Amino acid sequence: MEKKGLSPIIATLILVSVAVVLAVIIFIWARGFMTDQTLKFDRPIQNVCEDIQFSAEARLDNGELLVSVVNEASVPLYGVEVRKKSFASIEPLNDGAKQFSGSLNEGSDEEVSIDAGSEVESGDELLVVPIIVGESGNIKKSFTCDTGEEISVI
Amino acid sequence: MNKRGISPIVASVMLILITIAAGLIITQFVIPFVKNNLNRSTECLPFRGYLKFDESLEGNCYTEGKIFIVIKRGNFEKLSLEQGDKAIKDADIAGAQIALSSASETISLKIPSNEIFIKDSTSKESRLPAAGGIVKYETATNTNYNKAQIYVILSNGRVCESPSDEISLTPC
Repeated sequence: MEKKGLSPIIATLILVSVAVVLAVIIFIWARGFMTDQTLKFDRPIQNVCEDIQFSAEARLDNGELLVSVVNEASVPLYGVEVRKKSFASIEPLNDGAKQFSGSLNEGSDEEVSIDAGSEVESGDELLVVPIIVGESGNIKKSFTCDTGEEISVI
Repeated sequence: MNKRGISPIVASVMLILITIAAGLIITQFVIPFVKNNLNRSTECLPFRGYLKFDESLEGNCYTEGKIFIVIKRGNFEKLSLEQGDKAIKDADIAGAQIALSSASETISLKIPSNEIFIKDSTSKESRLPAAGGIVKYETATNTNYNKAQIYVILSNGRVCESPSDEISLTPC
Protein backbone atom coordinates (compact mmCIF):
# COMPACT_ATOMS: atom_id res chain seq x y z
CA MET A 1 0.00 0.00 0.00
CA GLU A 2 1.24 3.45 -0.89
CA LYS A 3 1.92 5.65 2.15
CA LYS A 4 0.21 9.04 1.96
CA GLY A 5 -0.44 11.91 4.33
CA LEU A 6 1.32 12.88 7.56
CA SER A 7 2.97 10.43 9.87
CA PRO A 8 1.17 9.93 13.22
CA ILE A 9 4.11 11.54 15.06
CA ILE A 10 4.04 14.73 12.98
CA ALA A 11 0.24 14.90 13.27
CA THR A 12 0.44 14.54 17.06
CA LEU A 13 3.15 17.18 17.26
CA ILE A 14 1.06 19.62 15.22
CA LEU A 15 -2.01 18.99 17.38
CA VAL A 16 -0.02 19.50 20.60
CA SER A 17 1.57 22.67 19.22
CA VAL A 18 -1.81 24.10 18.21
CA ALA A 19 -3.22 23.31 21.67
CA VAL A 20 -0.24 24.95 23.42
CA VAL A 21 -0.44 28.08 21.27
CA LEU A 22 -4.19 28.37 21.91
CA ALA A 23 -3.67 27.94 25.66
CA VAL A 24 -0.99 30.65 25.69
CA ILE A 25 -3.19 33.05 23.71
CA ILE A 26 -6.16 32.48 26.05
CA PHE A 27 -3.94 32.85 29.14
CA ILE A 28 -2.43 36.14 27.95
CA TRP A 29 -5.88 37.45 26.98
CA ALA A 30 -7.51 36.44 30.26
CA ARG A 31 -4.66 37.76 32.39
CA GLY A 32 -5.59 41.29 31.36
CA PHE A 33 -8.94 40.94 33.13
CA MET A 34 -7.53 39.70 36.40
CA THR A 35 -6.63 42.46 38.82
CA ASP A 36 -3.40 41.48 40.46
CA GLN A 37 -3.43 42.01 44.17
CA THR A 38 -1.01 44.63 45.41
CA LEU A 39 1.38 43.12 47.93
CA LYS A 40 3.76 44.54 50.51
CA PHE A 41 6.00 42.35 52.65
CA ASP A 42 4.34 39.41 50.81
CA ARG A 43 0.96 40.34 52.32
CA PRO A 44 -2.10 42.05 50.82
CA ILE A 45 -1.27 45.74 51.17
CA GLN A 46 -4.53 46.62 52.96
CA ASN A 47 -3.53 44.26 55.81
CA VAL A 48 -0.18 46.08 56.18
CA CYS A 49 -2.13 49.28 56.97
CA GLU A 50 -3.00 47.76 60.37
CA ASP A 51 0.70 47.78 61.33
CA ILE A 52 1.17 51.49 60.62
CA GLN A 53 1.64 53.81 63.59
CA PHE A 54 2.43 57.47 63.23
CA SER A 55 1.72 60.79 64.91
CA ALA A 56 0.79 63.98 63.09
CA GLU A 57 0.36 67.67 63.80
CA ALA A 58 -1.12 70.37 61.58
CA ARG A 59 -0.73 74.14 61.71
CA LEU A 60 -1.64 77.00 59.44
CA ASP A 61 0.99 79.39 58.14
CA ASN A 62 -0.09 82.14 55.72
CA GLY A 63 -2.72 79.99 54.00
CA GLU A 64 -0.44 76.99 53.89
CA LEU A 65 -1.30 73.93 55.91
CA LEU A 66 1.85 72.39 57.35
CA VAL A 67 1.44 68.78 58.41
CA SER A 68 4.31 67.13 60.25
CA VAL A 69 4.39 63.36 60.49
CA VAL A 70 6.52 61.06 62.66
CA ASN A 71 6.64 57.40 61.68
CA GLU A 72 6.46 55.24 64.81
CA ALA A 73 6.40 51.78 63.23
CA SER A 74 8.46 49.73 60.82
CA VAL A 75 6.24 50.21 57.75
CA PRO A 76 7.83 52.91 55.56
CA LEU A 77 5.42 55.70 54.63
CA TYR A 78 5.43 57.05 51.08
CA GLY A 79 3.13 59.99 51.67
CA VAL A 80 -0.04 61.16 53.37
CA GLU A 81 -3.49 62.25 52.30
CA VAL A 82 -5.17 64.93 54.38
CA ARG A 83 -8.97 64.85 54.63
CA LYS A 84 -11.20 67.44 56.24
CA LYS A 85 -13.93 66.25 58.57
CA SER A 86 -17.27 67.99 58.81
CA PHE A 87 -20.78 67.05 59.94
CA ALA A 88 -21.82 65.63 56.57
CA SER A 89 -18.54 64.67 54.93
CA ILE A 90 -14.96 63.49 55.26
CA GLU A 91 -13.24 64.54 52.04
CA PRO A 92 -9.66 64.95 50.85
CA LEU A 93 -8.40 68.52 50.49
CA ASN A 94 -7.91 69.58 46.86
CA ASP A 95 -4.14 69.50 47.25
CA GLY A 96 -4.34 66.87 49.99
CA ALA A 97 -2.20 63.98 48.71
CA LYS A 98 1.48 64.62 49.33
CA GLN A 99 4.56 62.52 48.75
CA PHE A 100 7.47 62.60 51.19
CA SER A 101 10.92 63.46 49.85
CA GLY A 102 11.82 59.78 50.35
CA SER A 103 10.42 56.79 52.20
CA LEU A 104 9.71 57.85 55.78
CA ASN A 105 11.19 55.08 57.90
CA GLU A 106 10.67 54.27 61.57
CA GLY A 107 11.66 57.16 63.82
CA SER A 108 11.91 59.66 60.95
CA ASP A 109 9.80 62.76 60.62
CA GLU A 110 8.90 65.12 57.80
CA GLU A 111 6.71 68.15 57.25
CA VAL A 112 4.61 68.50 54.11
CA SER A 113 3.08 71.73 52.87
CA ILE A 114 -0.46 71.77 51.50
CA ASP A 115 -1.95 74.71 49.64
CA ALA A 116 -5.14 74.83 51.71
CA GLY A 117 -6.38 78.24 50.54
CA SER A 118 -9.65 78.90 52.35
CA GLU A 119 -10.44 75.21 52.74
CA VAL A 120 -9.04 74.92 56.26
CA GLU A 121 -9.31 77.14 59.32
CA SER A 122 -7.79 76.92 62.76
CA GLY A 123 -9.69 74.38 64.87
CA ASP A 124 -10.88 72.30 61.92
CA GLU A 125 -10.75 68.54 62.33
CA LEU A 126 -8.53 66.66 59.89
CA LEU A 127 -7.94 63.01 59.13
CA VAL A 128 -4.36 62.22 58.07
CA VAL A 129 -4.28 58.97 56.12
CA PRO A 130 -1.00 57.20 55.28
CA ILE A 131 -0.03 56.27 51.71
CA ILE A 132 2.26 53.28 51.26
CA VAL A 133 3.78 51.56 48.25
CA GLY A 134 3.32 47.94 47.24
CA GLU A 135 3.94 45.85 44.16
CA SER A 136 1.51 44.32 41.73
CA GLY A 137 3.52 42.02 39.51
CA ASN A 138 6.48 44.19 38.54
CA ILE A 139 4.55 47.44 38.82
CA LYS A 140 4.88 49.63 41.91
CA LYS A 141 1.56 50.99 43.14
CA SER A 142 0.69 53.47 45.84
CA PHE A 143 -2.08 52.54 48.23
CA THR A 144 -4.07 54.90 50.44
CA CYS A 145 -5.08 53.26 53.70
CA ASP A 146 -8.67 53.45 54.94
CA THR A 147 -7.99 54.75 58.41
CA GLY A 148 -5.65 57.38 59.79
CA GLU A 149 -4.87 59.83 62.57
CA GLU A 150 -7.49 62.41 63.62
CA ILE A 151 -6.00 65.80 64.48
CA SER A 152 -7.11 69.42 64.89
CA VAL A 153 -5.53 72.35 63.07
CA ILE A 154 -3.59 74.59 65.45
CA MET B 1 -4.44 11.47 -19.02
CA ASN B 2 -6.68 14.44 -19.72
CA LYS B 3 -5.73 17.62 -17.94
CA ARG B 4 -8.79 18.96 -16.15
CA GLY B 5 -9.48 21.66 -13.57
CA ILE B 6 -7.40 24.73 -12.81
CA SER B 7 -3.66 24.79 -13.11
CA PRO B 8 -1.53 24.56 -9.95
CA ILE B 9 -0.28 28.13 -10.46
CA VAL B 10 -3.78 29.58 -10.68
CA ALA B 11 -4.81 27.52 -7.67
CA SER B 12 -1.83 28.82 -5.66
CA VAL B 13 -2.52 32.43 -6.64
CA MET B 14 -6.18 32.02 -5.68
CA LEU B 15 -5.25 30.53 -2.32
CA ILE B 16 -2.86 33.38 -1.59
CA LEU B 17 -5.47 35.98 -2.60
CA ILE B 18 -8.13 34.32 -0.45
CA THR B 19 -5.71 34.26 2.50
CA ILE B 20 -4.87 37.96 2.09
CA ALA B 21 -8.58 38.84 1.78
CA ALA B 22 -9.40 36.81 4.91
CA GLY B 23 -6.58 38.54 6.80
CA LEU B 24 -7.82 41.97 5.77
CA ILE B 25 -11.40 41.17 6.79
CA ILE B 26 -10.23 39.92 10.19
CA THR B 27 -8.02 42.93 10.90
CA GLN B 28 -10.53 45.49 9.64
CA PHE B 29 -13.79 44.13 11.04
CA VAL B 30 -13.49 41.13 13.32
CA ILE B 31 -10.74 42.43 15.65
CA PRO B 32 -12.36 45.87 16.25
CA PHE B 33 -15.75 44.19 16.75
CA VAL B 34 -14.38 41.76 19.34
CA LYS B 35 -12.39 44.54 21.03
CA ASN B 36 -15.45 46.77 21.36
CA ASN B 37 -17.53 44.00 22.82
CA LEU B 38 -14.78 42.91 25.20
CA ASN B 39 -14.32 46.49 26.34
CA ARG B 40 -18.04 46.85 27.00
CA SER B 41 -18.21 43.60 28.93
CA THR B 42 -15.24 44.48 31.14
CA GLU B 43 -15.36 48.26 31.60
CA CYS B 44 -17.43 47.99 34.79
CA LEU B 45 -15.22 45.36 36.44
CA PRO B 46 -12.68 47.75 38.04
CA PHE B 47 -15.52 49.64 39.72
CA ARG B 48 -17.00 46.72 41.66
CA GLY B 49 -17.15 47.95 45.25
CA TYR B 50 -15.81 51.38 44.25
CA LEU B 51 -18.86 53.15 45.68
CA LYS B 52 -20.02 51.82 49.04
CA PHE B 53 -22.53 52.69 51.69
CA ASP B 54 -20.63 53.75 54.78
CA GLU B 55 -21.67 53.26 58.38
CA SER B 56 -20.06 56.46 59.64
CA LEU B 57 -21.76 59.88 59.81
CA GLU B 58 -25.02 58.30 61.10
CA GLY B 59 -26.84 57.67 57.86
CA ASN B 60 -28.45 54.97 55.73
CA CYS B 61 -31.78 55.47 57.48
CA TYR B 62 -35.23 56.98 56.96
CA THR B 63 -37.25 59.39 59.05
CA GLU B 64 -40.39 61.43 58.44
CA GLY B 65 -40.25 62.53 54.83
CA LYS B 66 -36.48 62.07 54.40
CA ILE B 67 -33.88 59.43 53.67
CA PHE B 68 -30.23 59.83 54.60
CA ILE B 69 -27.57 57.96 52.65
CA VAL B 70 -23.83 57.89 53.35
CA ILE B 71 -21.58 57.04 50.40
CA LYS B 72 -17.88 56.27 50.47
CA ARG B 73 -15.90 56.52 47.25
CA GLY B 74 -12.83 54.39 46.74
CA ASN B 75 -9.70 55.67 45.12
CA PHE B 76 -7.08 54.45 42.74
CA GLU B 77 -3.50 55.68 42.76
CA LYS B 78 -3.12 59.07 44.39
CA LEU B 79 0.52 59.66 43.63
CA SER B 80 2.21 59.11 40.31
CA LEU B 81 4.15 55.88 40.15
CA GLU B 82 4.96 53.56 37.32
CA GLN B 83 1.58 52.52 35.96
CA GLY B 84 0.24 49.94 33.57
CA ASP B 85 -0.95 50.90 30.10
CA LYS B 86 -4.59 50.80 31.14
CA ALA B 87 -4.39 52.80 34.34
CA ILE B 88 -7.88 53.28 35.74
CA LYS B 89 -8.58 56.75 36.98
CA ASP B 90 -11.08 58.09 39.47
CA ALA B 91 -12.26 60.42 36.70
CA ASP B 92 -13.54 57.45 34.70
CA ILE B 93 -16.93 57.65 36.42
CA ALA B 94 -19.52 60.37 35.92
CA GLY B 95 -21.83 59.69 38.83
CA ALA B 96 -23.96 57.16 40.60
CA GLN B 97 -27.47 55.80 40.48
CA ILE B 98 -29.19 54.89 43.73
CA ALA B 99 -32.11 52.47 43.71
CA LEU B 100 -34.39 52.74 46.75
CA SER B 101 -36.77 49.83 47.29
CA SER B 102 -39.77 49.15 49.49
CA ALA B 103 -42.03 46.10 49.44
CA SER B 104 -44.16 47.64 46.71
CA GLU B 105 -41.95 49.94 44.64
CA THR B 106 -38.44 50.91 43.55
CA ILE B 107 -37.26 54.35 42.54
CA SER B 108 -33.95 55.51 41.05
CA LEU B 109 -32.09 58.68 41.92
CA LYS B 110 -29.00 59.98 40.18
CA ILE B 111 -26.02 61.80 41.62
CA PRO B 112 -25.65 64.51 40.44
CA SER B 113 -29.27 65.59 40.13
CA ASN B 114 -31.71 67.84 41.95
CA GLU B 115 -33.35 64.83 43.62
CA ILE B 116 -30.61 64.05 46.13
CA PHE B 117 -28.04 66.41 47.61
CA ILE B 118 -25.39 66.73 50.29
CA LYS B 119 -27.00 67.11 53.70
CA ASP B 120 -27.29 70.69 54.92
CA SER B 121 -25.45 72.04 51.87
CA THR B 122 -26.53 75.61 51.38
CA SER B 123 -27.02 75.42 47.62
CA LYS B 124 -28.38 71.83 47.57
CA GLU B 125 -25.07 70.61 46.18
CA SER B 126 -25.30 67.25 44.40
CA ARG B 127 -22.04 65.55 43.51
CA LEU B 128 -20.14 62.39 44.32
CA PRO B 129 -17.57 62.39 47.15
CA ALA B 130 -14.03 63.21 46.05
CA ALA B 131 -11.92 60.06 45.58
CA GLY B 132 -11.39 58.53 49.02
CA GLY B 133 -14.06 60.71 50.61
CA ILE B 134 -17.29 60.03 52.51
CA VAL B 135 -20.40 62.18 52.08
CA LYS B 136 -23.86 62.14 53.69
CA TYR B 137 -26.81 62.84 51.37
CA GLU B 138 -30.46 63.49 51.93
CA THR B 139 -33.51 63.13 49.74
CA ALA B 140 -37.15 63.96 50.39
CA THR B 141 -39.65 61.13 50.13
CA ASN B 142 -42.89 60.06 51.80
CA THR B 143 -42.15 56.35 51.38
CA ASN B 144 -40.09 54.43 53.91
CA TYR B 145 -37.77 52.60 51.54
CA ASN B 146 -35.96 49.82 53.37
CA LYS B 147 -33.25 48.88 50.87
CA ALA B 148 -30.76 50.88 48.86
CA GLN B 149 -28.44 49.81 46.05
CA ILE B 150 -25.80 51.93 44.37
CA TYR B 151 -24.65 51.62 40.75
CA VAL B 152 -21.69 53.29 39.06
CA ILE B 153 -22.35 55.55 36.05
CA LEU B 154 -19.31 55.50 33.77
CA SER B 155 -17.99 58.61 32.03
CA ASN B 156 -19.52 57.32 28.76
CA GLY B 157 -22.96 57.46 30.40
CA ARG B 158 -23.41 53.73 30.86
CA VAL B 159 -24.93 52.59 34.15
CA CYS B 160 -23.20 49.41 35.29
CA GLU B 161 -25.67 46.54 35.65
CA SER B 162 -24.30 45.05 38.88
CA PRO B 163 -24.72 47.07 42.05
CA SER B 164 -21.50 48.36 43.54
CA ASP B 165 -23.01 47.91 47.01
CA GLU B 166 -26.33 47.51 48.79
CA ILE B 167 -27.62 48.11 52.31
CA SER B 168 -30.78 47.79 54.40
CA LEU B 169 -32.21 51.11 55.56
CA THR B 170 -33.48 51.37 59.12
CA PRO B 171 -35.48 54.03 60.98
CA CYS B 172 -33.23 56.89 62.10
